[in-house]
Amino acid sequence: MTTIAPQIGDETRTRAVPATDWVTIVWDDPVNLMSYVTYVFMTHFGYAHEKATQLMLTVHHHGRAVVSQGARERMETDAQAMQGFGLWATVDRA
Amino acid sequence: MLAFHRHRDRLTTTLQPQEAAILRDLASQFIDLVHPLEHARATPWHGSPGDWSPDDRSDVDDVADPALARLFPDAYPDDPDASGEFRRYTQSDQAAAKVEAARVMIEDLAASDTGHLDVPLDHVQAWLITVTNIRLVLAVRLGVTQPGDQGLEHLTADDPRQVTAEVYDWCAWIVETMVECL
Repeated sequence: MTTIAPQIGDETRTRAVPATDWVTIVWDDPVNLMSYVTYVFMTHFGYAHEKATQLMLTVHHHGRAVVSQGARERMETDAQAMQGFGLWATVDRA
Repeated sequence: MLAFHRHRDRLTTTLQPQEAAILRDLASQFIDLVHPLEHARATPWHGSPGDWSPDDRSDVDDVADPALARLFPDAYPDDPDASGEFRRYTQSDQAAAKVEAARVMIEDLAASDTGHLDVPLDHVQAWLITVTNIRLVLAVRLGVTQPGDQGLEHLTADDPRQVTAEVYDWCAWIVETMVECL
């Protein structure tokens, strides 16, 4: 096993900035059940029941919730998945 | 129809033949609605969550049903170009996935002629997605589209939407009882 010393250059610095400037938003709607929305957040994101429930309640009480944050492509994947479950999901800048 | 129970690797319940027929019919109608989008060009729908309506549509010659606006919402409500791009890359796959999930449900129902319904655990997600999709379509038909739109308690007994409303509520109960088993 060898260890390569990190080389600090422009490229490294650019990569060091996490691409978290986009978010996936789930919006409240009158159709989806609270238990189902919680199930979706647990199933897709792997969130624990408590966190999924908290997110679901944020959607319910505030009309929307940021359910994930990261690179744009990743957020589009999440939004597509949420829409696939029948939730109203959009992508926006963080 | 009784509430689902979990039995090892499946959810089970009993349901009447006519109940199975209704669910099969709803799933088939849903496939008829969405199937054309598997191969159609991406169709832009404009509007933001909460303020869309059939009137907001444009360029919908090949997609005439407002329920599709709810099933395939704009990913970027304030950016038609980005929404269009997203739609071009995702819509046909999303449509195919919805159709496939509905087919899973139909196949399980086809095996329930004895009144006993088995849903393997690896089919449960397809069921939840399909029943939810059916509810989204029924909600548009019933005018339940805005946050805060409450159920349909205001309908009178002779309202033609009453039957649809009962099916809509029944489908909610199915989702609820399935999720409770997981």
